[in-house]
Amino acid sequence: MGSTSDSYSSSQETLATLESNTIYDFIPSYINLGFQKELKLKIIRDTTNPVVLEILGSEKFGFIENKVRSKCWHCLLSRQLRLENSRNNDVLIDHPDENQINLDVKRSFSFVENTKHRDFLKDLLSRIIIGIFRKHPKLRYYQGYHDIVSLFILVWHSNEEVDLSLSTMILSAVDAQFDTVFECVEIFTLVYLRDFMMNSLDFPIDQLKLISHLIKEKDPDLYHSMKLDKISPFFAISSILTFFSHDLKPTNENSIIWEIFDLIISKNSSFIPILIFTNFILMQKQKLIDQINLNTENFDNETDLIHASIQQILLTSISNENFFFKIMTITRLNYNRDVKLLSKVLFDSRIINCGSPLLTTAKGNNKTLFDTKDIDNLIDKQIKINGTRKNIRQTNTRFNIVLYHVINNKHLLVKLSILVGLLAIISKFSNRNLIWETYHKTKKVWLDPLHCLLHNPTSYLYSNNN
Amino acid sequence: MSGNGKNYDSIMKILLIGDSGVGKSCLLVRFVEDKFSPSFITTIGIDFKIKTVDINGKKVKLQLWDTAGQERFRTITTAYYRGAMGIILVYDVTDERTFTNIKQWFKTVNDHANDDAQLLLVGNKSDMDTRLVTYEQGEALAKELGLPFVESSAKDDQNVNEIFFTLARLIQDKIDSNKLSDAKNTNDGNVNIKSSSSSMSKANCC
Repeated sequence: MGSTSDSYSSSQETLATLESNTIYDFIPSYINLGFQKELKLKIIRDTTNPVVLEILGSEKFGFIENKVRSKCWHCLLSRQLRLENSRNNDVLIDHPDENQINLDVKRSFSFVENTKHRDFLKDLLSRIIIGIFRKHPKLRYYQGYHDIVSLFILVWHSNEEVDLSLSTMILSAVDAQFDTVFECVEIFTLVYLRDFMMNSLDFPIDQLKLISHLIKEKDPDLYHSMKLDKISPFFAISSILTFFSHDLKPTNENSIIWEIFDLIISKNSSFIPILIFTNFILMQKQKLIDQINLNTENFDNETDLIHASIQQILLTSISNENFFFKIMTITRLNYNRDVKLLSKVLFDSRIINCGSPLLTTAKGNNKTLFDTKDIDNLIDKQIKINGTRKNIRQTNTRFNIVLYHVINNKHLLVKLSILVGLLAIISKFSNRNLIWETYHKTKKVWLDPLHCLLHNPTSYLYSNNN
Repeated sequence: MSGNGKNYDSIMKILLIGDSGVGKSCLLVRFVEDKFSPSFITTIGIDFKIKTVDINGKKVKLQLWDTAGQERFRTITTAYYRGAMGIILVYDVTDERTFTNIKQWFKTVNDHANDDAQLLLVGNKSDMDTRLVTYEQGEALAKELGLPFVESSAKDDQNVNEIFFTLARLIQDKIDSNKLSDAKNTNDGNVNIKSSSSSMSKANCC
């Protein structure tokens, strides 16, 4: 267990006193949650200072409701990246991933019951995603990106009555709002999601390794129980790629997923999803270990065992939103300390590419306002690194496939062993011949004076006399 | 662990693969939960489900692994091919490209799965009027690759149970015949090099 887990449990104890550290600590704790939210909402509405907004968004309840949230996200995101020109997707050529985009758009917003509203949202989703990729053709689409964009759309369009009347209104009003959503999605994509938008999943897989590293630092026992020294934490891929928007659906204004995005945007930090996943594992430690023990005999290998066990726990946790609110509290509380720890891990392990959002965000007060050119340079750098990585991986994969087949095919293994044996014998013989030949060819006296003497005593004596 | 009383006789790991949008998750949800939704959510990475079925009088626990279809996820999904005793290759009868890509999927299986894994080819969405791949084409491809073949509709619940039961039976037959040949070889005093993978023998002992 060690001191790390002690500090973890102490953080849980501090949970109760958390409210006293927040900006709205003047609100007495006996006031009910509804009223606390109402008060916070008033403060947010009156705030014009973006720095104060960042603090408010990072805290409990986030930005509370979508009407306010949309303005806050737009305000904060435009302070993170200055876009040169807004939407210009009408003139650009098709992106190679549009077929995949259409397939995923078709399957989106399944939780929206009103079919008319669902179609309206899907249409918007398709226009925004295709617009983003036509404007940034170097980026590649990945399944899960649509979940993130869906979430952004709902911030502006969660009210179906307004939307359905809006769709019949004058186009300019619809367009103005479209531009704002588009701009926010574009900034969010370029600032936070670059690692996922190369032509392989190598960079997000690197990010997953940070979860293992963090668990190792915080709870070595759990790290070993979860066999994280042996397996890749692929079980977290959908949570990391979608910043939890795939698993935690925005079914209403109080859904936890809003707070997660409020925290990411307010802290300007790509670390948040990794921290949340790690905290989820740490907080479910006992359940997870029990589940692993229960499952041990039933699975073929450790990858399967750990994945299935985590998925079983995650599914029960998702239905319990209160549990995720607790995870958020822990994540907020330990944020600064965990970021320090992660930065150390990043430095020591050097597993993250130098253009990663993990290195360009989460700077605290030293935040940079990027422009399109900076981002473009970062993307080019990342594409280059990713290309080299992909080639190396493919060569390794080919080698592994051959190795795998040799090991698994016992006939081939026997044949190969015989072949290696034969080669060894042949080489032994050929080497012997080679030595023999060398020995005979180089009849240097100094090599074997006795040999020379025995074979040709006269010449030997003669040469010596001279 | 053996003392806690298992409610099954054996375990089978089954994997669903194929292009994006062919209906892998729909088939699985229809089989496990008997539900269908036309706008079923996308699978990101790998999803896991369990269903216990009755095969030849034995209770078999099916571990069902659903995979993302997009090409980039193959780095991740192929890590789960190991130990799979059954692999279902799915295409969409209304989308020719998903049918031609089956050969690519077949190659991926050969590269990453156990040699003794039982495969099955499935042409899904057979209820649709917009069909572009005929039953005969599917059958011919199955013959060429040496696989059993089924056409199904997750929407109309056509042949969905058959997919999983056929596969489970084929696997069970393999296990039984391996057991038989194992026993025979043990009697002969010979070592059977061709005996099944670790996963198979594990299932035998359950």
